[in-house]
Amino acid sequence: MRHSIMKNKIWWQRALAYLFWLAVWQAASVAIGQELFLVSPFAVIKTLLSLSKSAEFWGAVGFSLLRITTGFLLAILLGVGFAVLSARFQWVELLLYPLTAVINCTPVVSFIILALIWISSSNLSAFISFLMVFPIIYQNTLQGILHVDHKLLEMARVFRVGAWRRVLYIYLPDVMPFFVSACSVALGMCWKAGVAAEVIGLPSGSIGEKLYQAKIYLNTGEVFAWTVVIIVISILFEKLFLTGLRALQRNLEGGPA
Amino acid sequence: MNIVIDRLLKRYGDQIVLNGFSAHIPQGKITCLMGRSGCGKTTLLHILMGLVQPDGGSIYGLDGLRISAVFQENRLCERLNAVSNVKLVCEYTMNDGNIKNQLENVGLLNEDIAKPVSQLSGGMKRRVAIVRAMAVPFDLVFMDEPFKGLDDETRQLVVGYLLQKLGGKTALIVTHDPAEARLLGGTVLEME
Repeated sequence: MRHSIMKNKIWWQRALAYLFWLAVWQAASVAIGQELFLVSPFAVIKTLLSLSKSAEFWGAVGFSLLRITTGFLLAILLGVGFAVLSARFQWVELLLYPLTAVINCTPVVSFIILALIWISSSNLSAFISFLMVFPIIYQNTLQGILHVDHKLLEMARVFRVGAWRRVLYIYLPDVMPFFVSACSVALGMCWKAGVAAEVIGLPSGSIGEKLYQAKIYLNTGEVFAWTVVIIVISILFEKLFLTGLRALQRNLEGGPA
Repeated sequence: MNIVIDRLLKRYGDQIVLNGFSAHIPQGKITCLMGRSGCGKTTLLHILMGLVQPDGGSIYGLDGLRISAVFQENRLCERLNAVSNVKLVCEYTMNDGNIKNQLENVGLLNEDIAKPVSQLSGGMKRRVAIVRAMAVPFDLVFMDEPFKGLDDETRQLVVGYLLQKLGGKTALIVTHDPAEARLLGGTVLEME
């Protein structure tokens, strides 16, 4: 009860903080008086509503969503797969170490420009979101696997617990907190990097292209509106994915069926 | 077939833990392993369980035996409840009802059985670990101070439960207390 009241209080405090900054934005826009420099929040909502009526808008959302999600899911699949291999075979970890270190240190724009030479611009955002997410998922999952309670694994060996049950009830509960926090970081990052790749590569029909066009035509309202779209999709995607993961985590705590 | 331990040697770095230890563990009987702290009792159990490799010596009579264990630490999955912890190791041999009965036999209450084991006391966890060891089909069981953290009354209850479950099976039980060895009716094997 007390916890629930506290949560509600925090929710309202946060909502008020958002409203405060929206008011500051509105006031700044009125003070400047030129929509070209700083469009008002109301104008952004109006532009967003007008954009959302066109099929082109939903086409762009679908285009970017599909590619960035593909890159993200592929990075999860390969990140987890290679983490398992690295935990099992030290040479895999040694081999991957320079690769992940280089990816972590290289500016994302360098990868975007290089990737444009290698692959078509339409698949660029998938590749870049993969590249940004892979090291985070790989390194965190590997850490999680290495933190699994060694004594529980010995217990499982003595009691001849099957491989599937070991994974479900010994490995996963210890790895999941690492994996969930990695996904939480990676989800935001894949959208930022993916759209940045689209703005540079300009694949036809993408959110990045629309954002770039709005900038070229000095349509500040649309620049803000597309930015809001990216933020909303990114948050929704993150919430949906993390809710699914946490449900899985709770399910595992129920124990063997 | 008896288990024969022949001149077992184990060292960790410069420290010699087992220096040519030899013993016979009779089949179908309870053997209580006693000795001062740090004399290598747990290491011996770990070698017999196959968790630690010895540096020398031989062990005969373990081949083909199904083993079970109560470890020095409980080694329970803390997020799971007592039933799930037991069920984890005995996938096909016991259902939830049977497991609950076993847990009740060692004095655990219904409300404790449903809680994650992280919320149980040390003595309760110990009993879950004991029931888990008895729940799997086994020929030989290793127990490392199984009554640690149990009061006298609970210990009596658990000893009764164990004697009923161990009938005719080989058990090697580490204990510091000669009274426990007497309660179990085991042969005492002293380690120096």
